[in-house]
Amino acid sequence: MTKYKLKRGIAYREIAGNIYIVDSKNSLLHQLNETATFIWRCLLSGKNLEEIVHKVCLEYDVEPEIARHDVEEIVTEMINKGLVEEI
Amino acid sequence: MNITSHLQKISFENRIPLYSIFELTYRCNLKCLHCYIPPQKKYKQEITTSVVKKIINEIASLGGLYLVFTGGEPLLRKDIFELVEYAKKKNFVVILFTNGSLMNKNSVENLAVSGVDSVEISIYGREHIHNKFVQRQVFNNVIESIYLLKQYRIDVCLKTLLTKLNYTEFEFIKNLARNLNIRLKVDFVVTPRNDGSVDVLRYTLDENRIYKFLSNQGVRLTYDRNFKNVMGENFLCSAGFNLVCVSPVGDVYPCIQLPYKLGNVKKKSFVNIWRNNDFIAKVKNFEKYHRCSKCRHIFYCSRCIGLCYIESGSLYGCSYTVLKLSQIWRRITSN
Ligand code: SF4
Ligand code: SF4
Repeated sequence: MTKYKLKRGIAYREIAGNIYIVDSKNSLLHQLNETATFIWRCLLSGKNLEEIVHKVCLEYDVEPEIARHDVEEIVTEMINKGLVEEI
Repeated sequence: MNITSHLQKISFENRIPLYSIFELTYRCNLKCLHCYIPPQKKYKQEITTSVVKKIINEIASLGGLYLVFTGGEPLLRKDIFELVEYAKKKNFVVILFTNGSLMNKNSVENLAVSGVDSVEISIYGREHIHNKFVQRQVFNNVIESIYLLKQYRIDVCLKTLLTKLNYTEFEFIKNLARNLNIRLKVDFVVTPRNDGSVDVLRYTLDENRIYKFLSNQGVRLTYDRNFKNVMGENFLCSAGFNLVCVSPVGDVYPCIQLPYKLGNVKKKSFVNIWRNNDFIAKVKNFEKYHRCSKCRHIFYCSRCIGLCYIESGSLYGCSYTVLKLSQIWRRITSN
């Protein structure tokens, strides 16, 4: 099962409840919304996609299908933006 | 509001040390004429690698995100690569300020491995001017370092201070940055030395020249021209709110430019010093800014509390340089 890690050079911090991510190579600062923050924490604690979907179902009380769709979408976006990569 | 302004605002309001500056050493291999660090006969014991790491952890726990290692010359510390690597592991954006004269292939390779985000190098003009300014024959080493950093794909930024001694070098410096395709930061502010001595201010460029640079030559300052214009929260700068500086001996200051000691990490934890000091209450005591509240330049003043403090000895005073810049902005704005 795919796991993810922070891409080299990416800096981030949780500040006042939000995650801020700095991609200094591209001079970009990102702010994650609540769901993305939840997923980010799961990703960095070493959870794989299935585990994250499960966690999202529990946390937000949503159907697995919907959770999977959302998680995949957000993780793909994080990969496309160069913030995380598959291990 | 964009994300950067939002982050600036919430870190300021919640007193999160978003930006931290570590002066790792006062030692330096150069003798820059304008340096704010007074020449020392004997250097006090610097904080150890493990103490620096402990402070880094504490700043991370408080929400710090951007971290600068500077000096003196930070490459004189044997643990510099280890510290950069550590701060990167703690998910900081790490920037190194250096005079660029001590690098070679080996150290640049180490920097690349450490993951440093950016290296800022000071340059003052062509070879003879630069060397005169720093009082050592190092210009060629500096240029070589810049090429090496680029070769290793490390982001480089050039910085210059335009003074009476080198303002004619601006075109050269600008072209150098343009040809190398790297950023350039320009400043005019010569800072009094940390011990309050103002002899260095004689190098400050005269008003008309600064005016010309700012109005005709499109020079943008490195810091925000953030007019305070009203007495109140807006009158304050980042120092001590979302910015902090740690000296080589572990003293904690609100800013590198503001030697108002908040505490020392050998006596108290960083978190304790950050949370419990009298600085914030003092600078928020707006009734005490007698001179500023009557000042006709207040609308054009981007007051640097550090300069004001060093020059006047009071958090509520004024500074020669700040006043001069306010007058210049007043002229620019009214034209
Ligand atoms: S110029 Fe000096 S007195 Fe006037 S507002 Fe600025 S710091 Fe205060
Ligand atoms: S003390 Fe001066 S240099 Fe430091 S943050 Fe304030 S305005 Fe900037």
